[in-house]
Amino acid sequence: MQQRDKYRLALLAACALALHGFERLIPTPIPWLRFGFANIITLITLILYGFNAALTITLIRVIIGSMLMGTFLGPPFIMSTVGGLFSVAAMWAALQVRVFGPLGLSLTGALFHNLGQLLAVYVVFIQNLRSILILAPVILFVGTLTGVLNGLAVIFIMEHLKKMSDNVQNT
Amino acid sequence: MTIAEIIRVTTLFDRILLVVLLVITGASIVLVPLYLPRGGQIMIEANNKLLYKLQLSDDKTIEINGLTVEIKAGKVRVADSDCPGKVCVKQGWIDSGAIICLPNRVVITVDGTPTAPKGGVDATT
Repeated sequence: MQQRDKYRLALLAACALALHGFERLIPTPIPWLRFGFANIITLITLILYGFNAALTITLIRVIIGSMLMGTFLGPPFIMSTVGGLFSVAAMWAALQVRVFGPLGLSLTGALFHNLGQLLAVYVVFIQNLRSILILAPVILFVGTLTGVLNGLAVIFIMEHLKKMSDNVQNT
Repeated sequence: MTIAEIIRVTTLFDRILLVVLLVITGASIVLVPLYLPRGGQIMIEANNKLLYKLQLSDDKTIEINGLTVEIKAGKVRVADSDCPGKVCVKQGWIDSGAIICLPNRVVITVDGTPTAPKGGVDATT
């Protein structure tokens, strides 16, 4: 990996961390609802730099993020780690199929993030299929909506980056 | 960017995936609670063991694993908790669905309300 790419990854990780912390300040009607804005950065990294870079950024975000929030190795940490890994793996797999654009990738990421978290809750904390079955549809539905939001953000950013690089090439 | 431009950059599979996800999750929000048994029963579990089986009509307050669970007027809530996040407390009163406190490993599930057997879905279910 080139030195310049390392700097870029560090910058992207910092962006992901900032979004990860910032979204906790946004009030939501349901306390556990999160927008998952950090996935915007993960997805852009995945598209521009590939699987290893996206995995690195996700791990940096969940580890340092949980240390900043004081939840390192606690339940929220386990949930975001499992969710993050599931989402990166799923988005990478969806990228290989080559039929999805940023919106589809974002939706895949959101879906598997939530599935991973539900699985983690079931395996690690609560073996109560009933309550998970009641909560799962709502979580996955809200996840689809936030997935659209993040997908649109990725589309905007990618278009902007394309315009910027076009400008550089033309001058 | 205009809406037309946004639609242009999405692929056919993006749109199919979006519609499929919305339909499946939307339908299961309505359908899953219908297929689960109902009866206004509150079940309180701690450390994966069922400790209490109560009715929504029983007005009482229970202390369990550092949580104060309050049942009143056909609704249940966590009045107080010693966990750091207090997500369970912020969730407030519910008459269907579940309140889960991960740090204290307590799950409170409600089987729905007998007064409204096909009751609507609220923000907490």
